[in-house]
Amino acid sequence: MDQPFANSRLMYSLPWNSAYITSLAFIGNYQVAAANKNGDILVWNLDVPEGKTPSPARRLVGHSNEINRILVTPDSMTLISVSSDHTVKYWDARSVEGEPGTVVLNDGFVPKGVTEKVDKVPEPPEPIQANVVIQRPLRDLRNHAEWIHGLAQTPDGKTLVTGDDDGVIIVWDLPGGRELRRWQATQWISSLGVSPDGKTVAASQHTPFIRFKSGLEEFVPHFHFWDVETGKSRKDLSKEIKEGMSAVRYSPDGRWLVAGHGNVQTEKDQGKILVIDPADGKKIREFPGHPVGTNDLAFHPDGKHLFSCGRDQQIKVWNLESGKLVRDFGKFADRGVWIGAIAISLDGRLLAAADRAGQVVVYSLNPF
Amino acid sequence: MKMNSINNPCPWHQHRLRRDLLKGAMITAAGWALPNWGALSHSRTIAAEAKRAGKRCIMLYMEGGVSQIDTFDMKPGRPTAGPFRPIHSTVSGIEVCEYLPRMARHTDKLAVIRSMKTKSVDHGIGGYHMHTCYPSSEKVPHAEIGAMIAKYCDNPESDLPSFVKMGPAGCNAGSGYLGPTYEPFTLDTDGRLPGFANPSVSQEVQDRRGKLLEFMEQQHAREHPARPFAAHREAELRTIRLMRARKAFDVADAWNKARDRYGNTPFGRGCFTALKLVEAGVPFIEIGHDGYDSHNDNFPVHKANLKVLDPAWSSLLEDLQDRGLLQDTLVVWTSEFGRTPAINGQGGRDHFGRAWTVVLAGGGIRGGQTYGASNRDGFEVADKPVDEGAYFATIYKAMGVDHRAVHYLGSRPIWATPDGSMPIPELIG
Amino acid sequence: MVSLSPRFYLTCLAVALLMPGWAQSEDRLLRRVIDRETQAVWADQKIAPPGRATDTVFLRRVYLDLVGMIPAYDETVAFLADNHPSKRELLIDKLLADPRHARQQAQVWDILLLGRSPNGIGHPNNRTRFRQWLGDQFQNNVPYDRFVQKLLTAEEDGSQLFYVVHRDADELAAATMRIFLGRQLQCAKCHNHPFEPWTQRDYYGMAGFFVRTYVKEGEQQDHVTRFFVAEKSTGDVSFTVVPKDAPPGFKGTPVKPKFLDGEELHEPALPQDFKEPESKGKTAPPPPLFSRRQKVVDWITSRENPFLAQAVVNRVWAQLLGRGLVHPADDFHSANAPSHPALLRVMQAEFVEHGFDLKWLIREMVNSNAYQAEDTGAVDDAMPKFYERARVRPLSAEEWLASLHLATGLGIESAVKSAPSGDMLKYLGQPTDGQGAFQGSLSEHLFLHNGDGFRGLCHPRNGNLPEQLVKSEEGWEAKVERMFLSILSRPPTAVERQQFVQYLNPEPSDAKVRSQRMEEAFWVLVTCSEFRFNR
Repeated sequence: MDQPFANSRLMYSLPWNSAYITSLAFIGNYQVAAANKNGDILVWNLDVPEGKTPSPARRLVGHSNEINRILVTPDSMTLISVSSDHTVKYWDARSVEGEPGTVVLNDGFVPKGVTEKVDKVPEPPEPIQANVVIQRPLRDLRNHAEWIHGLAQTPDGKTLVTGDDDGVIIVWDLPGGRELRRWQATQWISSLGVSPDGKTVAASQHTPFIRFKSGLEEFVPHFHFWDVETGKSRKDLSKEIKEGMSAVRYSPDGRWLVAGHGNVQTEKDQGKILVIDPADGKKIREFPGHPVGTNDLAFHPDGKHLFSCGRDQQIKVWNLESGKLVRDFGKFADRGVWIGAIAISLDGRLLAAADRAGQVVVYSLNPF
Repeated sequence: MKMNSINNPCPWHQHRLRRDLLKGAMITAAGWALPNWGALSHSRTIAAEAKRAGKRCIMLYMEGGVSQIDTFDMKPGRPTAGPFRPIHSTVSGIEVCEYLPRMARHTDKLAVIRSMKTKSVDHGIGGYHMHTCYPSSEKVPHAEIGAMIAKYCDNPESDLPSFVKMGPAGCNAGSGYLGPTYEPFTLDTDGRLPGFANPSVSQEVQDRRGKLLEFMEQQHAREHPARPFAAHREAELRTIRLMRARKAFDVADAWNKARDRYGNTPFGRGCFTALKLVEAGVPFIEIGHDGYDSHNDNFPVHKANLKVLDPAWSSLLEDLQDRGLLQDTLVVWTSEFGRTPAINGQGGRDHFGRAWTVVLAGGGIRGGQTYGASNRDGFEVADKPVDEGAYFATIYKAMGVDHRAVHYLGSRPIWATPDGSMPIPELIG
Repeated sequence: MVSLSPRFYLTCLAVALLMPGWAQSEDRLLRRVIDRETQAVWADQKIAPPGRATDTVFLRRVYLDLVGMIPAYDETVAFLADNHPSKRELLIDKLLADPRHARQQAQVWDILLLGRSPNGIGHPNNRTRFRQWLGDQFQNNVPYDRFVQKLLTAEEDGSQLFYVVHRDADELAAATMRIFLGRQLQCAKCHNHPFEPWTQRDYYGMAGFFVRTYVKEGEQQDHVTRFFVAEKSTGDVSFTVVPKDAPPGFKGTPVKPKFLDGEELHEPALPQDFKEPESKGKTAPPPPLFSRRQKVVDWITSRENPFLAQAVVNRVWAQLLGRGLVHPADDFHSANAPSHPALLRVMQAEFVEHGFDLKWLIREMVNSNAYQAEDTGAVDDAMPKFYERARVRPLSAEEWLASLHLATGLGIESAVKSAPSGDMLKYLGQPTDGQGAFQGSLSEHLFLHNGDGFRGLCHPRNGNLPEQLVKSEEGWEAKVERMFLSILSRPPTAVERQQFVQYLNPEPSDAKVRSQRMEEAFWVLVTCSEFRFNR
C-alpha cells in the first residue's frame, strides 16, 4: 500500500496501426475495445493462456469517419461510440455472434520517415491479418450534424450526454436512445462530463485555432456547468478555466470533477489537470499533468487514484486526496508519439493505453 | 554604368507622372490637392474607375503552410486522407473539402494548381520564396510580389498606398530593391489603419503648417530641381492625401452589413477591407491568415481555420463579381508550402513542398479547372509540376506585368522571375 | 585597367614627379589635380563649370560630410562672420581634427561593412561596440591598408562583426572583393563573369580562403558578446557546375584556394593522423595549423595589390562627391570605364605615396572646386555625372537625428550622444532604391507628421530652442533669424523672414498661441526638403 501500483507490469502490446487510435474502453474485466481514426472498433479478449498474446476477436463496423470517443455502459451490455461521421452508435458489447471477417493490423502508413525529406513511401510490410467476427451497430442515432467529441453517461446507466462541434449538447435517455433535451453552446464542445445524479453537465468549449488570436474574442474558450433540466448555464467557470479541456470526467461517486488541459497545441508549461469541487466549481487542486497536453483521464475504481496520459508520452497516476504524483509508467511509444487514450478494467486490475502510432498496450496494475 | 541607363526598364516615367501631379497640386488655391476619394461612392463608378486604372491583385496568404489534402486535393479512401470528406462543386470533377461549402459554389472561377513543387520548406525561407520568387539564401533584398505589382499596376492619381498588407505577415522582405515608394503599407490585423496614420494634430493645424511648408518647398524648388527633392515633396503630398483619404480604410458601417456573410473574424474583415480598397483602386492587397502550421491536431486546426476562410474568401469573390471587378482582380490563395500527406504521431501533418496546391481566381485567369496533379497518395507531383518561377510568371502575366522585368541592385541585374520561368498558358484566360 | 600592374602606376607617378616645377608648386597638391582634371572634362563635355557654393551652402555640406551633423548655431554665426581668405580650408582642418569626424567615418564604414539591418549580430550593443572600434581606427588615422588588415584579421576586441554578419565562405569572398577591392565577383558563382576573364574557378578559388573560417561566441558582458573569428585546419570549397546540371548526388570537386588572377595557394600538407581539435566552452578556439585567411588578408592588403588603393580612393570620392569616378563605386570592370581615368590614376598613386592616409585624401577632395561646387542649376540628377553640380543626398538617420538635436538647440553634446530609435531607422534609414536613388516613403512622412519621438523635439520645453525663442525678449525678426541659422544654417530671405514673423506672431495672439505657432514653425523647417538633404 505504501507504493500503490508499484508492481505494475506490461502484459501485452497489441499492434494495430491502420490509423491512430482515439479512444479505449473495457468491457468488463477481460475485454478491451479500441476505436480509431478510420471509424473502426476492435475488441480484444485479454483472457488468454499464459505466454500467449491476445488477438482481436471482434470488429465493430459502421462508422464512416473518425471515432472520437467510446464508452461501455455500467452493466457492460452496450458499447457507445461517437464519431466525426456525426452519429452516435450503440453496439452489443457482449455478443460474440457475427459474420466472419478479417482485419489487417499493419496496413497503416508508418508516419515515421514519411516526410518532406524522404523521396519514397516505405514499402508496406507483410500484412499481419487476424480473423474476427464482424458486428454491426444496434442503434444509429443521427441527431447531431457535426463532429461529436463529447460523450458521457451517469453511473446508473440511465442518462447519456453528447456534444458536437456546432456547440450542440444533447441529453439522451440512454437505454431508449431517445433525445430528451438539447441546447446550444457557442463553440465546439471539446469534452464534457455528466454528474452522477444526472443533473449537471460540465462542458469545455474550445475552437482549436493554433493559438489564440486577438480580435477573435468570440472564440475564447468557455467552461460551464449546465443545468440538465433547463439547458441553461448554472455556473460559468470561463474565467477560472481559460483553456480548452481535452478530458472532463466526474468520478463515479460524484466526489470529484477533473479536467485535463490538452486541446490543440497546448503550450509547453501547460497541460495541467484540474481537480474541481463538483458542487461549487471551485478548484480543489491542480496536478502538473502532462507538459504539452493531457489527452485522457480515467478514475481508478478504488476511488482514490486518477490515471492520466498525454502528449509527453507518459502515463501518470495521481492521488486525488494527497495531490501527489504516485508514479509514472515511463515511455513506451516512439519519440514524439502521444499516448492518446487510456482505460481501466472494472476490477481495477488492468490498464489499457493507446499511442497515436498504432498500438494498444495492456498493463497489469496489481493494486493490492 | 551605361548598361544601367540603357537597360533600366523604368527610368523616371512614374516620377514624371507624379511630378506633374505635384505641380498641379502646388498651384491649387487651398494649398493641397483635394483627395479624389470623394467621388467614389457609387458602385458603377467604382467599377469603371478600377477598370480604367487597371488590374488589381488580392493575395490570401495562409501563414504556416496550408494542407492541400484537406482542402483542394483530397485523397478520399487513401490512407493519407483525413476525416474531411470531399463534396461536389459547381464544376464536375473538382471536389473540395466539406468545410469549404461556399467555395464549392465558386469553383467555376477557380484555377486549382495541384502540382506545386517548391524548394523552401520552412517558414522563414518558404515565406520569403513564395513572396519574392527567390530563395532568401541569395541574400539580396528582393522585392515582394506586392511591391512589384504596386510598381507596375499603380495608379499614380490614387490617394491610397499601392501595396497594402493586413494580418500576420508571411514575409518581411518589403519592397527591397524597388525602394520605399513601393514599401508595404501595413494595416492592423483586422484591416484598421495603424495608429501613426491618424493625424496627431487638428485639421486646422495641419492646413496652416501645411501652407507654410508648401511655401518653404516652393522657395527651395525654384533653384533646386534635383529629383530627390521632388521625391521628398511628392511623398509628403501623398502622405497628406492618404491622411485625408483615410476614410477609405474605415469600413465600419459597411462592415456591419457584411459581417455575417464574411464571418466576424479579423480575416473576414480583412477580406472585406480588401474589397473596399480594390474599389478605391489599390493595386495589391495581401491578407494573412495564420495558424496553419498544424504539426499537431492537423484536422481540428484546419477545420477551425477553414470555417474562417470559407465565408470570407467566397464572399470576397461574390462581391468582386457583383461589382464587375472580378475580371480585373486576381485573387490568389497561397501559402509558404503544403503539408505532408502522411499523418504523424501527433495527428498532425508537417511541412511539405513536393506536391501541394495553390488557387488562382478572377482577373486574367481561366477558372473552372484544375492544373497538374499529385499522385495517388499525394506524395509526388504526377503531372505538370509548377515551380516558384512558373507560379510567379503566371501571376505576373495575368496582371500584365513583364515577368522578366529587370531591375538593378547596384550594378547587379535582378529579374522579376528567374531565368527560364514561363507563365502557364493553360491558366491564362 | 584591371590588368595593369602596380609598376605602371608608380611609373606614372614618377613621371609626374619629375615634371618641371611640379614638386615645389601648390599645383602638386592633389586638390589642384582634381580641379584640373574635372575642369578638363567640363571643357571636353562642353559643360559650363559650376560656380562656387556660397558659404552657407558649403558650411552645411562640409559639416554633414565630415562630422555627420549640421553646424551648431554658434559655429554657423562664427563661420559666416569670419573674413579670413582661407576660412574654408581652416574649417576643413578643424573638422578633420574634431572627434566627431572619427564618429562620422565610423558610421559610414559600419553601414558599408555590415549593411543597414544585418542579421545575426544579436544585441545592438554589439554593433555599438563595433562602431567604437571603427571610431578608434579613424581617430588614430590608422593607414587604410593597416585598417583593412586589422579588420580582416579580426583579432582586436570589438573588430569581429564583419565576420559575424558575413558568415559563409561565399559571402565573405564576395563581400571582401566588393568592399575592399571594388570587384563584383559573385556573378562568377553561377556562370563565368560577363565582363572579366574571371571564371567560376576563380570564384571558388577565392571562397576557398574563407571556407575554414567560422565565428565562435565567447562570454557576454553588458550585452556585448566576445566574438572569436576562428579557423579550422581542414575543409574545402566544392565546385559544382551550375547546380541544376549536376547529376544527382554529385557533391562537386574540392577546389584549392587561388588568388584572383593569380597562383594557387601552396599550403603545407596536413599531418597524417590530424584530427580537428574540439573547441569547448567560451574561450578562444585553437588556431589552425595553417591560416588560409591570413594569406588572403595579406594578399588583399599588400602594397603590391593595386586594387586596394584604387577601390578606396574611388569609394571615398563617392562618399564625398556622390558618384564614384567608377560608378557604382564597387563595380570596377573593363566595360565600366571611369569618368576621369587620369584623375583616378593620380589619386591612387598619391594615396599610396601618402601611406594610405585617409584623412589626407579626404582633406584634398573636400578642398577641391568639384566638392565645393554650387548646389543650384538646371541638372536634375541627384549625382550629376561630371560633377557639374554638387550632389544631393539625404541625411542618414543618424545625421538627421543629430542635426535635429542641433536645430532645436539641444547642443553638440546631445547631438553626439543621440541614437536613432528603431522607428527612425525603419522609416528614415533606407530611403533609396536598389541603385541608390532617393525615394520618399509614406511611412517616413507619417512618422514626421504623427510620430511622438519627432514631435517632442519641436515642442517648446526644457530650455530647447523653441522654448528659448518663445520666452526671449528679442524682436520677431531676430527670432526668425536665429531659427533659420539654427535649423537651415543660413539666414532667412526677406520673404521668408516676413512669412515667419507673421506666422509666429499672428493677430490676435497670446502666449499659448505663440507657443503653438513656434512648435509648428519648427516642425515646418525640420520637415522641409532643405533639412532632409544636404541641400
